[in-house]
Amino acid sequence: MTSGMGYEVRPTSAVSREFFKEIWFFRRLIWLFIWRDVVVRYKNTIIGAAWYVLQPLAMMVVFTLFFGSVFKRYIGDLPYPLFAYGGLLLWQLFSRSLSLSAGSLVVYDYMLNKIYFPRIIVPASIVIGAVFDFLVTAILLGLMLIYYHVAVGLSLLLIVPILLVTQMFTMGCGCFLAALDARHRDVRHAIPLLMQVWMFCTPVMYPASYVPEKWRMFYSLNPMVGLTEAFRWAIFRSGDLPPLASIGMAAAIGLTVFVAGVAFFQKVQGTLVDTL
Amino acid sequence: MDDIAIRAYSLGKRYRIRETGGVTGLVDLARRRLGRPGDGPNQFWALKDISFDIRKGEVVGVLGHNGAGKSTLLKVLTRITNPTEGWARINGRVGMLLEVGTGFHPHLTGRENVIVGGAILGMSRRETLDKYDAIVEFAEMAGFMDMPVGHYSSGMALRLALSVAIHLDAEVVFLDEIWAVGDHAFQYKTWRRIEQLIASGRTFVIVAHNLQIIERLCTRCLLLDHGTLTMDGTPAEVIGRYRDELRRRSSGSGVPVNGGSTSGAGGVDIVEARLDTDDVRRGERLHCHLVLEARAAGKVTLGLSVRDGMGRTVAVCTQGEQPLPWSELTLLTGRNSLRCAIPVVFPAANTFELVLELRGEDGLAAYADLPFSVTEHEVVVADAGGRGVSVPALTVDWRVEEGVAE
Repeated sequence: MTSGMGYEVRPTSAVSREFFKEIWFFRRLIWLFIWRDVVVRYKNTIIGAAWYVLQPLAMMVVFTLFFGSVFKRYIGDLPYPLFAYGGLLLWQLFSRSLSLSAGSLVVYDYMLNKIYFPRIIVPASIVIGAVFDFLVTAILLGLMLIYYHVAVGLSLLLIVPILLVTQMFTMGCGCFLAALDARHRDVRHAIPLLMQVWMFCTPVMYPASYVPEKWRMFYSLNPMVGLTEAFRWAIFRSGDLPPLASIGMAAAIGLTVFVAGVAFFQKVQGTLVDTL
Repeated sequence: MDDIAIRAYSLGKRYRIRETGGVTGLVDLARRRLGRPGDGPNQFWALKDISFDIRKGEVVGVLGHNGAGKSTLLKVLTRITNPTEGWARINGRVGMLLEVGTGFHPHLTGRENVIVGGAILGMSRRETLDKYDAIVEFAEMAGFMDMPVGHYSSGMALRLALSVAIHLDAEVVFLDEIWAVGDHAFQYKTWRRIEQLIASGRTFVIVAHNLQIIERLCTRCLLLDHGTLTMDGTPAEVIGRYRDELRRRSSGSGVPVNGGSTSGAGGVDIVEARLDTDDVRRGERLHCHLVLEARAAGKVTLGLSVRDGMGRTVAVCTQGEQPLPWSELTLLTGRNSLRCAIPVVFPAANTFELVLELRGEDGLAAYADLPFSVTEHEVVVADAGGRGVSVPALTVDWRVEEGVAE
C-alpha cells in the first residue's frame, strides 16, 4: 500500500522544484477553489452577476457626466463613455482581485487551520477566478461597441497577453499583501485607500497623454498605465499605439512583482496560521 | 527509511505572545525589524527538541497535560504550521482530523465538500466517488448530502468530517481529540472502524485524553510535558507515568496566602487534598479529602468545580439548595479535616479535573487541582439491527421483600 508520496517538514519553505511538483499534485484543488468561489458568489444572490456590471457602468456614467467634456479633446473620435468603460473594465479586474486576494487568507482561516494544502492556492484561485467576472462585465462592453458602431479587429487578440500580465502583476501584489495582512491586520484597512489613489494614478478615466511630459516617465512606473493604454488600444484601436517603452516597462515591472510576491509568500506561508 | 512512516528530528516550535493580546500592526513590524528578536519574555516554546521514528503500521498515542504541545506537534507534522527548528519526513498520503472543526466550506453541500476533501488528499474525482457511499453511510448522513454544510448541526458536520478523514486513502492518519464526536453508538463505530484500518496496516498518530482508548488502540505512546518529549514507550508504561504525574500535580499543590497578609485572619493553607481514587465509575461517588490548616478561626468559602480535558467547566458544587457555586464553612484554628462525596454524573471515558478554590476573608487563599477519570462498566449487546452496541452496565441487586401476596 505504498503510494510513494510524502513530504518533508522544514522551518522554511521556498520556491523550488518541490513547490512546482506540489502545485501539480494539488491542481484539482485550484480548479475546485475557483469553481467554488464563483458558485458561492453567484448562488444565493438575486442580481449576482448584474452587480459586477452595474459598478463600472455607474462609474462610467458619472465620469461621462462630470469629466466627459474635459477629456474629450484628448481622445480623438472615440466616444468618452466607451473610453471610460474600457479603462474601468481592466481596472475593476485588477482592483477586485487585489482587494479580495489580500484579505483571502483570513476568510479561509477555518480551512487553513484544519487541513494542509499549498497556501498559495488561495490567492491564486481568486486572481484566476476574477477573470470570469471580467468576462461577464465584458459582455456589456460588447453591447456598447455595437451601439457606438465601433468595429474591432485582430488586435483584440492582444487582450490575452494583456490580461495575463495584469493578473500576474495582481497575483504578485495580492500575495504580498495577503501575507502581510495575515500577520498585521491593519493592512486590510489601507487597501481601499490604496485602490482609490491608485485609480487616479492610472489612465482609467483620462488618457495618459493628459499627463505632462515631464512626469510621464515616473508615471509609467505604474504597470497599470501601460496595461490600460494597451488594453484600450487593443479593443478600440483609436489613436497611435501607446509607446512601446511604456508597455515594455509595464510588463517588466509586472512580472518582477509577480516573482517577488510569490517568493515572499512562499517564504512566510508556513507560519501564517500562527497569527490567523 | 523504507519502513518508516514518520521521522522527526529535533522539532521545535516557538510562538510569540503579542503584548497587546492581538495581532500586531505595522508599527510593531517596524519596531521588530529594528530590534532584535531572540528569546524574550514574549516568546514561549510550545515544542522543543522532539525526535522520534514511527514505523509503518504503528498506532501511536500522544499524551500530555493541557498545553503540553500535543496539538502543536500534530499541526507541525501535518504542515499546518512550520516548525521553528528541526525537520520531519512523512512517507505516504496523509489524512487528518485536527481539533474541533471540519475545514468544510459552509456554502457548499456535503457532497461537494467530500470531493474537496478528496482533492486535498490528491485523489481524483473518480477515486473519491468510489468511496463516497461508504463515507456517507458511516457518517449516517444519507439524505443530507445535498444540503449546504452550513445548515448541518455541528454534530453532523463533525461526523462527516471524521468519516472523510478515515475513509479516504490515507496511509498515515492524524487524529486529534476526535473522541467527542457523535453519540455513544457512533463513537463505538469509530473505534471499530479505526481498529479495522489499523489491521490493514495504516499508521496512526492519535491524541486523546481518554486513557482507555489509548490503552486499547495504541501500540506505542509518546508523553509530552511542556513541549518536551519525556517518554516514548509502550502504552502501559507511558500511561503509568502519566497517571503518576497527574497524581503528583494534584497532591497538596495549594498556594499559601498571597498578598503578604500578616493579619492571620483568613489565613488558610491546604495541607492535603486528595481523592480516594482517581478512576471512578459513572454513577458512583467520588470522595474528596481535604486537610486545611487555619491560622485563625473563621469563615472560608470553598468552591468546587469539575472541568473537562479542555478546561471547560462541566459542573459546580453547591451547598444545599442555594444556587451559589460554593460552600461556606466555619473553620477552627489549626488542622481541619474535611471530606465530601461528589456524585459522578459525567460522561465516561474521559478525564476531568476537580478544581478546588479556597477563599479566605481577603481573597483567594489556595487552589488545588485533582484529576480523575471516569470509566463506565459497559457491555456489548446486539441492537435491533443485529449490530454490536456498547451500553452502560448498571449493577443491580435484587432483594426479596415480603413474600408476594397471592
